Amino acid sequence: MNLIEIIFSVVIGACLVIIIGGRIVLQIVTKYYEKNPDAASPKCKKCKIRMTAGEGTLYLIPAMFDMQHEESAEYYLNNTKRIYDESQIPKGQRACRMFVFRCPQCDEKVVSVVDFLQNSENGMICGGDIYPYEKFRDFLSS
Amino acid sequence: MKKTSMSYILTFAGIILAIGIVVGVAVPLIVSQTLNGTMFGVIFFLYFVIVAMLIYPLFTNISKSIAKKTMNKLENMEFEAQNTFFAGSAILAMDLDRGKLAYVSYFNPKELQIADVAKVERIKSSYVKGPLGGATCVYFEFYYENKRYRFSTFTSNKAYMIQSQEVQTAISKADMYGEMLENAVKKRR
Repeated sequence: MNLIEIIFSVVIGACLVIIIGGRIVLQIVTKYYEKNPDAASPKCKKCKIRMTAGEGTLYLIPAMFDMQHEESAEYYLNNTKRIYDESQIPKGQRACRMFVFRCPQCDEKVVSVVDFLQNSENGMICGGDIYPYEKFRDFLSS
Repeated sequence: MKKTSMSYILTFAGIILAIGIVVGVAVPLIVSQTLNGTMFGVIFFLYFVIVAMLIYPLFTNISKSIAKKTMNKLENMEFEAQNTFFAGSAILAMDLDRGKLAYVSYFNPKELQIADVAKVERIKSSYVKGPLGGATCVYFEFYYENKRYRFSTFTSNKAYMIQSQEVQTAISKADMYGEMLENAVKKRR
């Protein structure tokens, strides 16, 4: 084998390892977060410990499929509509879950918004962020 | 509903062939002022190599523009297209209130076909698995008078992961159209 054949074999082999290895790693990471949902929780900025989540509330977003929209607290506060079950999400329409995370030590709260598109497969997460609880306090209690 | 018109396909093929013959005759005449059989053969062959590479986009683009003009005939009919879907090989418009579908195939682009939603059955949305667990095609389909009509919301010759944005969005679109048809069928029956 000459040098070019060796380099070619190494490149092809590396690509296969990345593709197959990447899929295995993705499955391991997904299973880890499924078994340990708290591992994805935000950390309290003061206490540096994981915050615990309450039950999420479901809202409809006026966006379809992979449409881009402004990702701000004001957008979610002014444009979302409360629903009570995933079956109420029209096909193709985006929805979001709002979780209130609380620090078990200092009682600091934040709101996590997870913007997702549901479908007959697993669906996908389209965006979202973590926002100060004070902005959402009245909205969530109404 | 008729998916393919042989007369359209043969006419298209005939026009391509005729252009090839004209090019094969014209080029030697322009270059050497004589009709050279060898040159004709070479040019004819090269013309068809180029056509073979371009035939799919050429056919699709021409047929699509004819199909769109055919679809415009709906404006003069009792048909309010609440949703029009442009698939890779056909156009499907839905009038869900009246329970009608309008269909134009790119292989039969001059014929506007109206179908009754009540006769639609076995509606399904799904995807075709590709290599390494990816997806190469996402579609919704239905059967009409025992013939299957499939409309792709996503096709690719590359291996897109099922979790990718493109595939997930296409699955949502296929689900949406499938649900629209199911609701229209339930309303009609």
